[in-house]
Amino acid sequence: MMEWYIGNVWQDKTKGLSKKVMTLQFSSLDKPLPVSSVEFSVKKAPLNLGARPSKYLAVSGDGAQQLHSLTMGNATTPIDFYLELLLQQFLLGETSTCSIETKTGDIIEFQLKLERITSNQQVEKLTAAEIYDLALRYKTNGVAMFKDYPKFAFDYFIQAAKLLITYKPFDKLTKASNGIDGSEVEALFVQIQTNLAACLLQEKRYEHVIYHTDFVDTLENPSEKSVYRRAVAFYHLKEFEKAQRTIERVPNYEEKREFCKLRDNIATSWKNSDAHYKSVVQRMFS
Amino acid sequence: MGDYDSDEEKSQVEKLRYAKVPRGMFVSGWDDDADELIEEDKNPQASIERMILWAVNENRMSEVREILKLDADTVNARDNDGYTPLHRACYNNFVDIAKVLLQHHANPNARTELGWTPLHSACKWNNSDCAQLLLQFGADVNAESDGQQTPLHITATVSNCRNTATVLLLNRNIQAQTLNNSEETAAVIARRTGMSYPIFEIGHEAYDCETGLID
Repeated sequence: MMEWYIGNVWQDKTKGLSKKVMTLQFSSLDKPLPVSSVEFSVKKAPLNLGARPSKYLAVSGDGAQQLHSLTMGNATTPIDFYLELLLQQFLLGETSTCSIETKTGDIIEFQLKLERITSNQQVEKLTAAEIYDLALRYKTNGVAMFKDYPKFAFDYFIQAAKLLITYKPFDKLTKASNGIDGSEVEALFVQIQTNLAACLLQEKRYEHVIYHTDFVDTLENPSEKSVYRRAVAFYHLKEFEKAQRTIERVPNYEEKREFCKLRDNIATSWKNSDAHYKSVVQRMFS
Repeated sequence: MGDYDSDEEKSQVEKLRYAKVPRGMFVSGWDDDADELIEEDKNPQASIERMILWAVNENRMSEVREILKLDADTVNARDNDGYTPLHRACYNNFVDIAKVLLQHHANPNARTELGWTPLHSACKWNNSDCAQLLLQFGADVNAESDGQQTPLHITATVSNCRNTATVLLLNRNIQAQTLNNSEETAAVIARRTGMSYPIFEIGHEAYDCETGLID
């Protein structure tokens, strides 16, 4: 019935992912969703994995086929992160050769079989409380990956923020009817946006740092991190007045080394930009 | 295993061919939108293509499977407006029938005369189950119909579209800032249309992220 499926290729060139179907023991037309748990086996150990860490693809001593249980959204290495995305393209009972291309042109190749889908949940059907728990997990994983794999941390924070937004407006959520209070969801959202600001600063996407830290202007006591990151973004956008006003949201900012350094940088650049402006005016009207 | 694969085999097609089908049985329940009215087939027995289109619309699983067994090409049958069986399954949110059709190699990106894909059809009726299924099986989340309407634009026209908007906006491939031929993003339409517009914030470019190739 699914003969046409054998040899079928799926690709995501941007991520360097590819999958080719080798065999299929068809039982039902089901694939794992991003919120699911599965059992899969590694049929052929990976080629070219090198020193890249993976919870699942590390070769066992005797080379035996390994059966693994996996819950999506728990990866903390890039290989396992992409392994999850590949598995989401598997039909139940499918054996496929998978590959992950690297920046240096290495092709990491391995063969997997999706043995079971133990749970499969449509994300739009999760309750607000379930969405909160999932977003919190994504945030935690993002924090774990931030130092070594900032791009993947960024992705986790983005996914977490998006999940929470599906229950906006938060002020309508109550513990009694949604299992979680809107204020708790809002607090997590603000933490995630603060983490996003760190990622976006690394990417030099300063306008988007401003977007994600808008709460700094309205929250009563925004965190120092969020204030600092917003001010840095204003500084890079040459909005020196706004940068200075932002750091002043922290009452004792002058006692903090990072803030003082930023204040000095703002002052110097501000002065220079004034001097620059004056020289332009002088040239134009002299 | 899905229940779509479990019914007993009989010659349903033969029964169907001679069945006296009561008039009015083929009228769809969505006649609140004149533009989207599907034509009533007064004589679905006239051809096997018309029969499968009718059977899908009536959620008749065993007949659909029987017809496909008789002639697998009927999976690509089209009505006068270009709707395929998969379009019909998706605007009715008949997920199990949609699965059988996909299993028989239905094109998830088939186009109606107006350029609608089955995903457009699912979104028009906030059928998130079918939208999710289609995206898992190769539907183009950014497909543009005539008028450059993406499935997200269609979703945004529905007042309470929380579920389909969630499915589409959480898809990793979505380009949520696409403009239609009125130069509007889906978010702009959503703001005008109804209660689900806060969700369209997900489509803001500040949420763009691509992990790309690994080291």
